[in-house]
Amino acid sequence: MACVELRTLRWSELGSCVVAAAALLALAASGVVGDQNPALIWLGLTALALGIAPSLDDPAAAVTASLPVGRRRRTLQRLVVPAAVLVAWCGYAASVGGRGGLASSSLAWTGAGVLLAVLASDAVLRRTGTDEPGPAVGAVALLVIVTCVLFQPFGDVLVLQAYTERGALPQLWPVVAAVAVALLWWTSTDPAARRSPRTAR
Amino acid sequence: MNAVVVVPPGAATRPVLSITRLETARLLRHPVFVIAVLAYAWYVVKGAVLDPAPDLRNMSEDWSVLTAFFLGLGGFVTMHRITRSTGPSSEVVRSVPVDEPRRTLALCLTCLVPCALAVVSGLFTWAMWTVGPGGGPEAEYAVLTRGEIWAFHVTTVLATLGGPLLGVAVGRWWRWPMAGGVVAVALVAWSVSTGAFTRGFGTTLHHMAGPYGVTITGESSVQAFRQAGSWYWHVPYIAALCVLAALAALLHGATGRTRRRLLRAGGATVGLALVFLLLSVLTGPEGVLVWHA
Repeated sequence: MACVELRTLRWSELGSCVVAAAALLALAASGVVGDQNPALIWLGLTALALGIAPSLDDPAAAVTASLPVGRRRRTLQRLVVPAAVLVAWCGYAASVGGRGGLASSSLAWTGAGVLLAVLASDAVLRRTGTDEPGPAVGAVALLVIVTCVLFQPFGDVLVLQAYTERGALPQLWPVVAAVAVALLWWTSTDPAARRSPRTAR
Repeated sequence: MNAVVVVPPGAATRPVLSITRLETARLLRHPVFVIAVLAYAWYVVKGAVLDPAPDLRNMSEDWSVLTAFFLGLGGFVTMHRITRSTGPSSEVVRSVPVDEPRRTLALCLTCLVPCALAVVSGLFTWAMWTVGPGGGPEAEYAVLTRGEIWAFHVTTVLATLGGPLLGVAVGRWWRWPMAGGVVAVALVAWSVSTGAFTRGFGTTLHHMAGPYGVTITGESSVQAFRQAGSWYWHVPYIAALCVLAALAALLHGATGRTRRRLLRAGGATVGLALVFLLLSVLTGPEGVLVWHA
């Protein structure tokens, strides 16, 4: 069943976004454009967010609603790919930590918070009846992240945190991540209270 | 059941203009564009009137970045989504007696709206500079002439035309939903990856070839600097990129003689763009970076 769910993902789109993200993150790690400029790192994160945004899209929701498999189980199966992306991001954060003052933990938490927030937004919109929330959530994520990169709208507090000291607000992204996980759990509750065939027996 | 078809006056004779009016109304009602314009208006008024930047050079650079981001990138995202929005209704759209290049031309004409807004805000901001105590931004640009400042600002206005045009082209040719997002990320990455101090051929080419590049130049107590390259030749280069984006969009769905004409025009524009780019890289003043003792 997991394979069936994963076959519904648009792999070419995901692959394009991951390739773009990998290029940007490699460029940032190479130091060609300056060690202390995390803008390219955040743009790489944006590409990853765009890639996973359609993960929960379900254009055939009218049909899949009648399947004998609960929404939570299907959601968990679809979250396999975003989870892999999240693990890869944390690995990248660990590898670039220390360069130019970048902090691995800040990068990892910010990335995790952004990616989980994107997924939670998808899940909430899907719960409220939007079958394909990915493009809209992706566009909003793009504009919000680029706004934060270019304009730093909250002054001294950096929303996208790459350092442990400069502009740090360490509670921000763990809280966002926790809220996002709670929303994902809540929105994946099956409206018909279906269980998997094995447990229903 | 009887059906009555109501044709607006003039719609039959000028279909492109009729579609342009419809697409303009869609653009002006699109939530992304509305939010972008409102945020842009707030930042421009704040930067020019309510809380002016400490010096006019910073205000000039701020205006450029704000305009390129909110109207250029916001216009790109909006026009990409508007162009793609007819995809699910393509069967119906194809049945109207207007071919795809003309529908695309209407979308391209709609892209003049963000550009017009940029012109208005530019005139407003320039007026605020001129009546201010500094006598205009050129007084505080230590190493740029008045003509170069105008050229730099014209490229910013052209970016607000080129961004939406590119959005139409990407929407026509690249059908997957996130294509616009990936291209937007690439555009921003190109702009932010150009270094502040461009002196050699490679770094100057990287800076001047970008679809939008802010000029970071001036003098402070610790350093004096200006980026290399000619801002005068950068204007026709960016204009050529705008034309290329429009031609690429129009090429989708074009057949026969129209297609051949568009391809010829595209080839000529590519050649001109390369010439303008080389001139902008090679003929301008050299980059300067002097650290004061």
